[in-house]
Amino acid sequence: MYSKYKLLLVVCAITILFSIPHLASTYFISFMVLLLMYVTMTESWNMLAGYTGYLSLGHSVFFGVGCYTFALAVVKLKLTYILALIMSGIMAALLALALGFILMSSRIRIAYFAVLTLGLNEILKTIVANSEALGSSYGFTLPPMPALSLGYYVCLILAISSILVTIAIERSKFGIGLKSILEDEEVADSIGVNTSKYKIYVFVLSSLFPGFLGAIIAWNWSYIDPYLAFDLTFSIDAVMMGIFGGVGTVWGPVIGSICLTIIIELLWVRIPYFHAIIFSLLVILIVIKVPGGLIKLAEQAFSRLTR
Amino acid sequence: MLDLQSLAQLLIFGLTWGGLFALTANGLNLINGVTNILNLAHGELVMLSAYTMFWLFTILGLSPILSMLASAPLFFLIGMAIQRLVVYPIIKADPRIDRVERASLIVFFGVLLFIQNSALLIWSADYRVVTYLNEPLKFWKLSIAANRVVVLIVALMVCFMLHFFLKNTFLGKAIRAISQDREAGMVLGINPTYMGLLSFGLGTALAGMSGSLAGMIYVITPTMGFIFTIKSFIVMLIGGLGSTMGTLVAGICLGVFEALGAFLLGEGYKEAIDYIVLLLFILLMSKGYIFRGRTL
Repeated sequence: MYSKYKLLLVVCAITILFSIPHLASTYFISFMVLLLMYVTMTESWNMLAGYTGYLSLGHSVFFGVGCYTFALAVVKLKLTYILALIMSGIMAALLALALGFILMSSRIRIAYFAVLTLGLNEILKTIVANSEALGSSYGFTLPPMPALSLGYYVCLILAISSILVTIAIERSKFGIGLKSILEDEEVADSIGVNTSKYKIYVFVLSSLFPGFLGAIIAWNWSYIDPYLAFDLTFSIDAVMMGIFGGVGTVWGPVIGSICLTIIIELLWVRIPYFHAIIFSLLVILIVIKVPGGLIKLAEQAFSRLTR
Repeated sequence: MLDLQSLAQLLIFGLTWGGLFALTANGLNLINGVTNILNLAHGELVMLSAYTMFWLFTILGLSPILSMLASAPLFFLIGMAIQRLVVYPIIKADPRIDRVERASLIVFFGVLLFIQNSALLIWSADYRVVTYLNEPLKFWKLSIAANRVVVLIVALMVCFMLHFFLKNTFLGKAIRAISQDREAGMVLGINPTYMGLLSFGLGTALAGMSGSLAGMIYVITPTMGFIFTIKSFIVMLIGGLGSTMGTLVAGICLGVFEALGAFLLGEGYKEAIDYIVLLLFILLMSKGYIFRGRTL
């Protein structure tokens, strides 16, 4: 009975989301694009961080790789848009594969992994900014997108598919294996869970979405440069939203990113750095008081109501 | 291309940078050793101390050396406050080490953002500069600004004093005992909570000292902290998670290496070189090529 209502809710939500470009103003559509951008990023970050516990603080590196692959493919190689989009995802996944082989073949302290991914973002940013072939600091100007709604639909599809993939992970044997890595990696290894394989798989999976996202957003912005594409605040915001909403669940990052994107939109015009201060305070409070995030808080409140 | 004079100049630059990073890394190392927490906000505390030095210099005319002696106790208290406010609730909620590590990573990330953005908000992103002891010292055809020599000497002195403290005093030995084996230390009667507080205070005080020194040779801006965090992390790993002298040597080596790399490859690639060194190092360590009984 409960799940029938849930299905109805989901169908309604999807119908509404798909019909927004026909109904809403341009401002609202671009706000929704921003929202879906954050939902995709946070949800795909959650695939790795929430289920295995490996916090990758530099997830925006895949976004940047996606942006630049798309830009290079369209501007320098003159490929079609679809091919460029697919290539962006593949390049991001290849980077994740290489990184996964280097870092995840044996156990590594979570803190080191976090700082290394952070560092990778900075390395790539520096390398791109300093190399002529990749446009150096001037970046690329891309031909404009035919209609804003194209960007909106692609982002919507990306967001929905990241949520679906997370649901698939949550309910599968793969997901149970990942969660065992979160609980105690040594024990998981000794039980027979192939931790390196699982970790690399989910890392590659979690890098696909930012890759595709980077491509479509680069097209949307029509201009990228190393500081826009490899912007650390993007992945920092994604981490904050994931933690706030409840890392390790399917809907936690979605709810967290919706709430916090609304806060961003309301705050960023008023006071420049205020939104980061609010975010950081929220995250500190959440981790100290309710480590499960907003979802856990809602669960606690719900269970208290239905007692 | 590279004559002896500019090589020597480069070496001095590298030594100074290296000494500074070694000092900061020692603070990080101390905190990490005792509490197993990676203090991501370490660089921000360096930045805060640089600003403190700047304001003390501008308003009161206090020389950076004296303000270093003044900010060390202040940052000791700040470090203990951070541990009590932020780390203690995490440990109380779930004392398992890996949980604490993970949760504190996130929390300190939040602290980093909070301090950095508050600094940006309050003090704006303008560069501040402290000109102090800028007269060059001349010896053997080299001329080096006096403040660089002062930074190097003070950094080295503090590192040596820290080593002496940890090796020869009772409190230092207690700190080392707890970082080697927490339970054994508890059996011997060392209070780990107290040690955690103390190590946070001490580590932050070291960051405070290096901030005052850094303000003399770097421009002071709210975003300077992040680089310090990353570099001290690299130095800490390469130098060895428990050893003060190792961190000192690693810091100086990294500083010189970076100076040479910046000269040969260009300023922009400096950070990239650091990260690649870090990546290689972690890779080699996890595969077991670097031993001496070191765990990753």
